[in-house]
Amino acid sequence: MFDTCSGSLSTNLCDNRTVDKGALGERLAQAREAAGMTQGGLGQAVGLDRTAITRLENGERKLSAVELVAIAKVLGRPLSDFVSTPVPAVVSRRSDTALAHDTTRALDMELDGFASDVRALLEMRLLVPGERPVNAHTPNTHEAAEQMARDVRQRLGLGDGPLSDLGEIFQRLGLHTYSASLGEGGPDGGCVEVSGTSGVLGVAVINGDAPPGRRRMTLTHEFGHWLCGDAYDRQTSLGSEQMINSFAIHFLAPRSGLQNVWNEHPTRSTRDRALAVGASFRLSWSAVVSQLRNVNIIDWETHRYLSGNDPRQGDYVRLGFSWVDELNRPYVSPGFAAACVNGFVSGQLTSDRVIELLRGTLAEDDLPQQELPSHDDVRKSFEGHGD
Amino acid sequence: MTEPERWVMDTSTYTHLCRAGHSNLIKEIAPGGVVVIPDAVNVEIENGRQLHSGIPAVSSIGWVEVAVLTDEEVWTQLEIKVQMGGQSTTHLGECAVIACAHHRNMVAIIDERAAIAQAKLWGVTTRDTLWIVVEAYKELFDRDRDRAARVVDDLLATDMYLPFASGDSLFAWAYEEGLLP
Repeated sequence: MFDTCSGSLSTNLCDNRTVDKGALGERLAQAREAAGMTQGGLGQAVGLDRTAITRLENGERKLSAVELVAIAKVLGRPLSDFVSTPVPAVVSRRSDTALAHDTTRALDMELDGFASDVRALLEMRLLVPGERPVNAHTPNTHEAAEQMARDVRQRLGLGDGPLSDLGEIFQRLGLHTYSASLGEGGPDGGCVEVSGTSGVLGVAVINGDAPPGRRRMTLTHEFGHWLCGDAYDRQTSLGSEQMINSFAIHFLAPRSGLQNVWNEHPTRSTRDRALAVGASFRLSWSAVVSQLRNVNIIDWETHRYLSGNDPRQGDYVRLGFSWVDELNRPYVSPGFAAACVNGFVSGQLTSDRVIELLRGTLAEDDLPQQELPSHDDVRKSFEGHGD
Repeated sequence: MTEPERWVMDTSTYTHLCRAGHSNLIKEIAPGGVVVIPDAVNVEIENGRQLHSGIPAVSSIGWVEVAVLTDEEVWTQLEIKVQMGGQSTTHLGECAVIACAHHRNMVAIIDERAAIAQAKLWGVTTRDTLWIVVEAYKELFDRDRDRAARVVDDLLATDMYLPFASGDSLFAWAYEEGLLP
């Protein structure tokens, strides 16, 4: 079972929001305590006395941008932690423990941040809305899930072979990915939908500390949520989660493609043939064994045997199979990265902002030269003079 | 919402026009002969005064009103700051200008492209330093291109960037393009 969450973000970027100084104060207090600082210590670090911090945390002090920027810096937190609007549905999900989606605060925060950034780029027209199939809905049988996987592969012209660069493939249908560090035992990932004035995009955050095969499976699972338009569906059930998982494995390893790879190694042992499938389709061992059984390539007895014989890395090496690590943290979709860098080159984004957006995938020295203002930029200065 | 009239100005326009010796253009062109300068911009101007001569203190200028932002405006300033990036206090002046213009229905006078992009997102009308010179060409200089070109030359001498080597070449280009008002 994958440990995921999903939701939607439809608040407009520039809506006038009422300042909730109480909520801000709570966030500041939580961040200060998480940093192990006292009110006095924080005050000293930013040049304020303790009572000023107390009043700020109680929502009683007049806001000052300089103070809040300084406090965020001392606490080692991005300013957006304190002033950005949380993703509403993720908040709902987190508070609704009856649902199968069990998430953590770390995942919520990464989803909040990445969704806000995608929404900002969407509003700036640096990202274009996704073209999600309009008729997709959560399948209710494994057959329907397999058919949906076939249809999506066909729509994307992917054939039935192994897929590489899932982030690039999924962004073609409007899902942008961030692989974050959520810890080895952390949640697998989550997905939200963001709306802008020009359209919608999907946003997925996956745990970059999970093993490679699991990362691919998680991202494809979130892709399934995005395709089915149920990223905002609070009624998502355990059954539909299984159907999305079914879609994911059939998308990553289609029946015919799996059979082809299996048939390429007729002289090898069953286990070595399964290893070949795993290496080709970059699946975890449990996913390989399960899918070989799903498509009737192996029987239950073989399934049990293989399930009890997990491979080691050397097994793949012995057979000459290489494994390209994918979605290794930090990772962002190439289209998201391109939008950020293009925004910088055109002058719409500052270098500081681009480096934050790229989440450690590029350093400031790696940025290309920014275009200087052009004659077209100057043209605007001659407009609006009343003639 | 009515058409915005009053101006709220960023550091760049104020300091460049002052250093170029043409701060009078602001007073002459600004609606009502007054511009608003947020306190965050005032701080940046004071910093600029340490580096360059010819920049008068805002407090000594009769046609400037210093604005202290309300909590709502500070919140917007911070939201824009998130989009402008940076851990330090960089861009806080531009963010304050956009926030002030947004909440008070004013025109933001800013030069930085990233700030202009944010202003657009917030539905804020913007003008830049060169716009003021072009307006002066029309309203104050009796459409005398040479006078306007000299102002541009003075601005270029303060290291303000324009994709032209001189005021003459700028106005010759604008004339050929049919842009002159």
